Amino acid sequence: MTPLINALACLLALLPASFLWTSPRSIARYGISQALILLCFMLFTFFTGDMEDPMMEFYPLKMWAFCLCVSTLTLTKKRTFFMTLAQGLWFWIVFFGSLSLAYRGEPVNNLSMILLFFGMIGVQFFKQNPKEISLGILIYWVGIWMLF
Amino acid sequence: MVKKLFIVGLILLIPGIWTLFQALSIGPASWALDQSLFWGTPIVNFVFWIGLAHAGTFLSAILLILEVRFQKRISLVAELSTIAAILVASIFPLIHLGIVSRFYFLIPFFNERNIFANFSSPLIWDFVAIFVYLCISIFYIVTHLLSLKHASLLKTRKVLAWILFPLVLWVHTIVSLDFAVTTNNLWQGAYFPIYFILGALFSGLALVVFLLEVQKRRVRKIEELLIAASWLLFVFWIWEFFQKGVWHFEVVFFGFVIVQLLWIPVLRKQKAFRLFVSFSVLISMWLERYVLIIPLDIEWLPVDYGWFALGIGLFLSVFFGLYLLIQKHNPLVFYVSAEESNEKYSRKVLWGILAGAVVFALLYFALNYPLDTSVPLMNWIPVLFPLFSLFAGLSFFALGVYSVVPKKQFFLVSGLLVLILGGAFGAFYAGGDTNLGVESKIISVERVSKNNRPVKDLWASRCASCHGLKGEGNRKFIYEFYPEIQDLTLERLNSQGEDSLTQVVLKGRAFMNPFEGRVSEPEARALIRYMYQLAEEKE
Amino acid sequence: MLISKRTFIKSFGALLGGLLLFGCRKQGEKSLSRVRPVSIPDIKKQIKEAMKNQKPLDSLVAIPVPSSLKAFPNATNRFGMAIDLDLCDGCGECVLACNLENNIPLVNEYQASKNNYMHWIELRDQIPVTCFHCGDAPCEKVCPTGAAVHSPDGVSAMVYARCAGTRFCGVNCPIKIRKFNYVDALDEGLQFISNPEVPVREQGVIEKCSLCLHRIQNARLKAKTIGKEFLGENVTTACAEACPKGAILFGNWLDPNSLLYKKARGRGVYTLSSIAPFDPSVVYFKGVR
Repeated sequence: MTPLINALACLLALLPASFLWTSPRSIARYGISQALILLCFMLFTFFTGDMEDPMMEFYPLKMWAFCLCVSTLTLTKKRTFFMTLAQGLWFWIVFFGSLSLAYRGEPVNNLSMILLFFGMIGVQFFKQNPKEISLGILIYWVGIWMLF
Repeated sequence: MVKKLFIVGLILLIPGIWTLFQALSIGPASWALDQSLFWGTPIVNFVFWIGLAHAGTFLSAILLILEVRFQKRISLVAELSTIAAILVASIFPLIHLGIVSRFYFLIPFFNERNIFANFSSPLIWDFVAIFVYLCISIFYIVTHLLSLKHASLLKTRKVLAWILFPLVLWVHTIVSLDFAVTTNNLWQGAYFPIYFILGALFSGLALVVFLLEVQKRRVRKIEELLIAASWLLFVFWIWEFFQKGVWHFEVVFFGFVIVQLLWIPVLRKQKAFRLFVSFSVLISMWLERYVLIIPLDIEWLPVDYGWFALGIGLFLSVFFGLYLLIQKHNPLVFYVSAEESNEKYSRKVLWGILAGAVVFALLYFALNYPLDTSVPLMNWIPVLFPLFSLFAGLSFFALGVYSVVPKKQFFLVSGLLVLILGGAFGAFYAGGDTNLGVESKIISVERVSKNNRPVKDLWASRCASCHGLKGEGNRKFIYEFYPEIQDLTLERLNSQGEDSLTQVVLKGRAFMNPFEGRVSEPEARALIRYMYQLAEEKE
Repeated sequence: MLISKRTFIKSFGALLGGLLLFGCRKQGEKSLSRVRPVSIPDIKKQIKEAMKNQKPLDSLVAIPVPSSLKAFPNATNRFGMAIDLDLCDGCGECVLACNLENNIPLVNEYQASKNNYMHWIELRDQIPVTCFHCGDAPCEKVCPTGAAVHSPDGVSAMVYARCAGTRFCGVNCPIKIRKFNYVDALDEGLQFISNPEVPVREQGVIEKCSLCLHRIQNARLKAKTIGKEFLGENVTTACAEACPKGAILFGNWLDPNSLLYKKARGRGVYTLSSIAPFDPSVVYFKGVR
C-alpha cells in the first residue's frame, strides 16, 4: 500500500467520524450504520490495496477502529471512557492481528502498539479537554496511522 | 416450563452419556476423522459453546460497565447461562485429546516434573484463558447472589465486571488464534479475532433471547442487538469472500436473511417467531464453525450426532438445575433488578491489588522465561494477562466475601480450598507411574530382580570383570585391552534408555561383547535396571 | 406415582456418575501375545493399496541447499535426506523398508477403506513424500506440550511419552504427513515388532518419520565410545538402504565430506511449494542447477 493510498484511507476514515453519534437512533440502526461504514472500508481496501499482502487482511478493521477513535472526540458525555475503549479496540486489532501474522513470518510493528497503549493511558490525564488538546489527540492518532 | 426443560435436559443426557462413554473408550476414532482431518466435530462444538458463554458476560458485565439500563433485569440469567455454557464447552477439548489422562501436560506449571508447556502454542493460551474465565465467572455470579443480602458487595461486583470485560473478549480472540496462526489457507486471517468475537456475541444473544422467553419475558433491546450483530457479521462474511472466495449461502440465510424478518412488527410480536429466529441464528452459527473447521464432505458416525445430545442435555440440566436451586432459596431473584451502588473501593486497595497482580504475572514470567527463551516475547502476553486477571479477581473476590461472611466460615472454606489445591499440587509434584511405554510392561523382570540378589550375582559373574563390582570399571583389566570406560551416571543411562541398553548387552557394541545366549533378555533388562541402581547409589 | 421425584433425580444422578466412572476406567494391561508375527505379504498388500489411491502432490519449487539451522547456528550436524527424482521410479521399496524398520502398524479394514494408512513414507503422484524435517517447522510451533521438538542436529523429533494427542501438529502440517494412532494396534492385533530398537507407539499419539533416529544414536554412541566427533558417518536410513536405484541419500548438510553434501553440488534442489517457506532438511534432487 502506497503512502498516498494510506493517506486517502485516513481521510476516508475521518469522513464518517464526525456525524457517527450525532442523531439518536435505535441500536439496530446504529449497528447497520457501523456495518455499512465497515463495508465501505472493506471495498476501499479491496479495490485499492494489494490483496496478496497479508497486512491488508485487517486493514479495513484498523480503519474502522481509527474512525471510532476520532468519532469519540465529538462525544459530550463519558468522552475519556469511550476514547480509551476505542483505542483499546484499535490496539486489540493490531496486536492480535500481528500476532497471527507473526506465525506466517510477517514483521511485527511493535512501536504502533506501544504508542496506542500509551495513548490509552494518556487520555486519562485529559479529563476536561479544551479544543487544543482534542486537536492534539487527533494529530497523535493521525500520526500513528500515517507513520506505522 | 423451567421444570420441563430440566427434565428434557436430563433425558437428553442419557444418549449424551452414552456418547461420552463411546468417545472415551474408543478414542478419536469414534467420531469422523481421518489422517488429513485431525480436528472434527468436538472442536466445532467447543467453539460453538464457548461462543454461547460470551453473551452472558457481555450482557451482565460489559453492559454493567457501560451503564445500560436493561442489563439489570436480565443479568442473573445471563450469568447463569455463561457458567453452564463454559462447563459444556470445556468438556469437548478434553474428550478430543488422544490420551485424555494426559490433559495436565497442557497446564503451564513451572517446569516441575520436566513437563514444560510450549508458550508458542495457542492451545496453552486457550487453556489458561478458559480456566480463568470460568473461575472469574463463578466469582461474579456468587458475588451477585451474595450482594442480594449484603449491599456492600456491589462494589466488588463492579470491579469483577471490569476484570471480566477484557477477559471475555480475550477468550474468543484466543480461540480464533487457534485457527489464525495455522498454515491452512482457509483458516488464516488477521481479522479473525474481531470476527470470532462478533460471532460469539451473536450466537450468545440468540441463546439469551430463548432463555428469557422460557421465563415468559422479553427484552426488546436484545432483539435490536441481534439485528445489529447480524449486519456486522454479514459484512465480515463479505470480507471473507473477498479474502478467500468462500461463501456459504446456508450460513448467510439462517444468520442474516431470517434475522431481518424481525423488522416486520407483526412477526416480531409473535413469541413463536422470536424463538424461531433465535434458533435460526444458533443453527447458522453452528454451521459457520462447521464449514470452517470441516470443509470437506465427511461421513458422520453416531458419536458426531451424540455431541448434540451431550451439549444440549448438559446445558439444559446444569442451567435449569441451578435455576431451580436458586429459585428455591429466593423465588423472586430472577425478576428483580440488580442493585447499583456508587460506593467505590478506596484507591489504595484498588492500586494495591492491581500492582500485586502485575507483580504476580511478572514473577511468573521471570521464573519461566529462562526455561524457554525461544518463545517471542509477544507470545507470553496471552498467558500472562489471564494470570494477572485471575490474581486480581481472586483478591477482590476474597476481600469482598471476607467482609460479609462470618470469619469462622470464611477461614474454614478457604482453608479447605487451600488444602485441596495444595494436595492436588503435591500429588502432581510427587508424580505417579512414569512407566509409559507399552513394551516395558511386556517383559517382566520380577523373576530375576527380586531382592536384587540374583542380579547382583549375575553382575558379579558376567560384568564385573570389566565394569567393576560397583560399575566404576575394573581399571587394571581394562587398561590393558580396551579404551577408557564410560562413567556410570544416571544422565548417561537416561540418554540411552533401558531398551537400547538392553540391546547393547545382548548384541554388543564397539568394545562391548555380545551376551546373547549367555544372558536372557529379561536378565539383560534386569542388569540394566541394576545399573540404574548402582548409578543412584553412586550419586 | 411409584417413586418420588427426589428419588428419581437422585438415582438418575447416581446412574450418570456411575456411567461416567465406568467410561473413565483404566484399560487392562497390554500383553506381548497380541503382537502379530511379521508377515511381509500383509504389509505389502497395504502398501499396494495405498499406492493405488495416491494423494495429489503440490508443485515442486527450487530452493537453496540446506545450511545451518536458525535455532542452532553453532551446531555441526544437520541431518537430512535427498530423494533423486531422476532415479526414482516410484517402486515403493522404501515404504516397505520403513515399515519393517519402524514397526509401523497395519490398519484395520475400516481405516483401510478410507485410505488411512500409517506409512511414514507415502507415494504421491509416484513421488515419495515423507516428513521434511523443516528447520522452521510449523508443527513444532503449535505443539502445546513440546512433544514435537527439534533436535540440535536437525531432526524434527517426536517425544511419544509427551504427546497428549491434541493433533494440532497434524492440523498445521502443510502436507499432512503426520499420522495419528486412531486404534490400539497391539490390541487389535495389527502390530508387529520386526525391530526391537524402535518403541511401539500407543493409541492416541502422533507419529512420523524420525530419520531413523535410533540408527543415528547408535552410530553416535559408537563414535563417542572410540572418542571421535560424530558427523553422521557410517549411518544411513532404512529407506536409503533399501532403494534399489540408490535414489535416496542420507547425510549431514553441514559436513563437506558427507556424500549428501557432495552430491548436492551442481544438482537442482527442489521441495514442495507448500513446504518451501519452512527450510526443509529433506529435499528432492532433479536435473542440474
